[in-house]
Amino acid sequence: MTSPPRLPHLLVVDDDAEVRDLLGSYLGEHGFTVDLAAGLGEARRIMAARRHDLFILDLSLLDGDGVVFCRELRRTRNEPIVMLSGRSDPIDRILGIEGGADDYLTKPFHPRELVARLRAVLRRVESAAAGGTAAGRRALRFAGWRLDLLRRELRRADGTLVPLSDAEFDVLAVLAERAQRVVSRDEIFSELHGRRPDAEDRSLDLRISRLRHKIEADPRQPRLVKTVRTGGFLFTEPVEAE
Amino acid sequence: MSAALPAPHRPRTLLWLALALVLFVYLIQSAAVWTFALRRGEEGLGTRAVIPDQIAAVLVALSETGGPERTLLLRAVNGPGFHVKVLPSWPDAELPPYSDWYFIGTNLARIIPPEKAELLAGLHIWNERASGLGFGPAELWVLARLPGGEAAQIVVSDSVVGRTALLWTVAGLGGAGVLLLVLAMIGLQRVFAPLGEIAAAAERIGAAPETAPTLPERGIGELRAVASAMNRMQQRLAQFIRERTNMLAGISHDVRTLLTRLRLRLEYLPDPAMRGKCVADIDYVIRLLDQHLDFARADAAREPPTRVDLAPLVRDLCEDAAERGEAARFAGPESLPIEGRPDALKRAIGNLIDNAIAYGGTAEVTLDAEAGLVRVSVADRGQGIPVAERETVFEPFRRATLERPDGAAPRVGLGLAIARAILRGHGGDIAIADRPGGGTIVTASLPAFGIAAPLERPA
Repeated sequence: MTSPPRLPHLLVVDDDAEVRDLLGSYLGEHGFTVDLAAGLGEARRIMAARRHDLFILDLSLLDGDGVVFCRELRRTRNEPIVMLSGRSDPIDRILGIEGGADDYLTKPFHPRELVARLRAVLRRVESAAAGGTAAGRRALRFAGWRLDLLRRELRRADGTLVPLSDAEFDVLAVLAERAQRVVSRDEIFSELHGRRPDAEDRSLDLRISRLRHKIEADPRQPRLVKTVRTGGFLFTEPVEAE
Repeated sequence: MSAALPAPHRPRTLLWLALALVLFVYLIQSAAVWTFALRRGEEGLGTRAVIPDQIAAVLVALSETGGPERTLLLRAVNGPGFHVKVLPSWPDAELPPYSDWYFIGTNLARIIPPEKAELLAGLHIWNERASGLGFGPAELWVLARLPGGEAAQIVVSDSVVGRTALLWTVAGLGGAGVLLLVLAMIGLQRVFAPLGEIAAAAERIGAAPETAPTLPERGIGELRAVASAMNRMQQRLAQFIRERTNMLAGISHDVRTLLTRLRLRLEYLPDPAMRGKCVADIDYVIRLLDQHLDFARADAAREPPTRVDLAPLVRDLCEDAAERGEAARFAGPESLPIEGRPDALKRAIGNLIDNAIAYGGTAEVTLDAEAGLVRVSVADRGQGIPVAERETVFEPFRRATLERPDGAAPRVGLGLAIARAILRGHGGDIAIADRPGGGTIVTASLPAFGIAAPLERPA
């Protein structure tokens, strides 16, 4: 089971040549091997020739609809898909996620955030492949809550949506996926941002504090997400995947 | 937004019209029946020219006969509708009051020869079984004194068959009235129902031309023409909106692509301060673009409503602003579930908070609920909005004339217009008031669970 460590291999499908090339070099500098395709036809040819770990797909392509292609891929392949879209309509996001995309980013995105999301998606797939409980899951259930990983939303048992920011969602997902064990701040941070926290980085505490406001009965006496004295957090409740 | 339909007027107008129609026909029928009855009256009973003559002849003959002759006479004159009887004496019983409906008395006085005037002396005439509906008495009674103390009693009766026919006529009239009412209601309903549909359709088209269902083209000719004209109008409106939305979406897509390139290139800019400023500018351009797009496509209606906790939603907006270093504070319950469109509400309330901060320096946000009505008040300490401008600030691309205190980037002037459209889409509204001690309070209110059924998404 020992294979030489290799860089994740991505296929970027985008019909704008400049964006494609810039993405290619940026992602190349951030630890990925990148193939580029200008449209669905080229993408199919490259896919037939090589294996990829992840597809980055623009929603609207000159020779076809990215969502349709996404659905087509989902039927035959397991590789994760990250959608990029020049459309800001919230409906497009839902269509993309329901079409089978693992994540969805609106253009123009912050390049660092794209890298972080790509890493998060790849890690999720890896842990699923390694026999983790997370295989093929769509949502996590804990303590009367349901965290929908595709739609990125948190709801109470009665279906009431409790709005989360992207950052809060990511922190909660990281903690819930590592339920009932202590997770260090570094681990959360590198999971979210692909780097270690700066000395003055207080944003994680802020995220956790705002999360507690939403999911704890008493945010001052947290029972679900506890702070561990040694520097980390413990998600106390058992988590059920669905 | 859709004003309340003047629905209660429709059935009432319908009822009035039907009643007027029935009354009209009833009057015509009554006139016909009265004419019929009066003609019957002329021909019938007392005024038939022959009746006073008959009575006079019988009285004269009775006064001149006796014994078997009189018996024969009685047999000769008695028959259906005409009964003559000789009473041995004037009856003791009290008689009904004298009443000469058909002027028999007057006629008898004219016909009976003067030498027989004694017959007229004690003449008593009255009518019996006169009913309200009967158009004249049914029986005519004549009592006259005969020589020798006897009394002659003559009863002339109307034909029973005639009365029954009259009753049937009256019953028929009632039946016809009821039938007419029913037919009138059905007929008018056929005219009015499509009108109601057209009014409702006009409301729907006004609210959302793209998603309003097509009006069925039926009913009478003119109504069909109206319905088809409405449908064509809707198609043109929807096409116009589609073209405008597509144009904006196209511009947005191209701008986003260009900004994506720029954003990626900025990663190679060595000066982090410069990079930060450029990124902020890009974010600002995107916000402007999104505002226009939001306003153009009114996508509030496309987001499905769901049960959402408004308290963390509003608190998040305040905390986000506070994290940006703005003076935003939140006061309200820990949890306040409502039925609404989360993204749209976030945008609407976010716009109110941004406005308060931009023009009033602070945003003190209060959330409360009372009797099913949820209120989000955003108070600032700015210079206030003059009463005259409290409506115009909601107009798209309009801004209150007051200067922004910090001279920051120009604003589009869509924030309040979008916020109000979203609130109204939730069955709520936005009100502007002065804040005691200076400043403005903008209050968004909406029914906690009163959102209209979601419009169907176009296929």
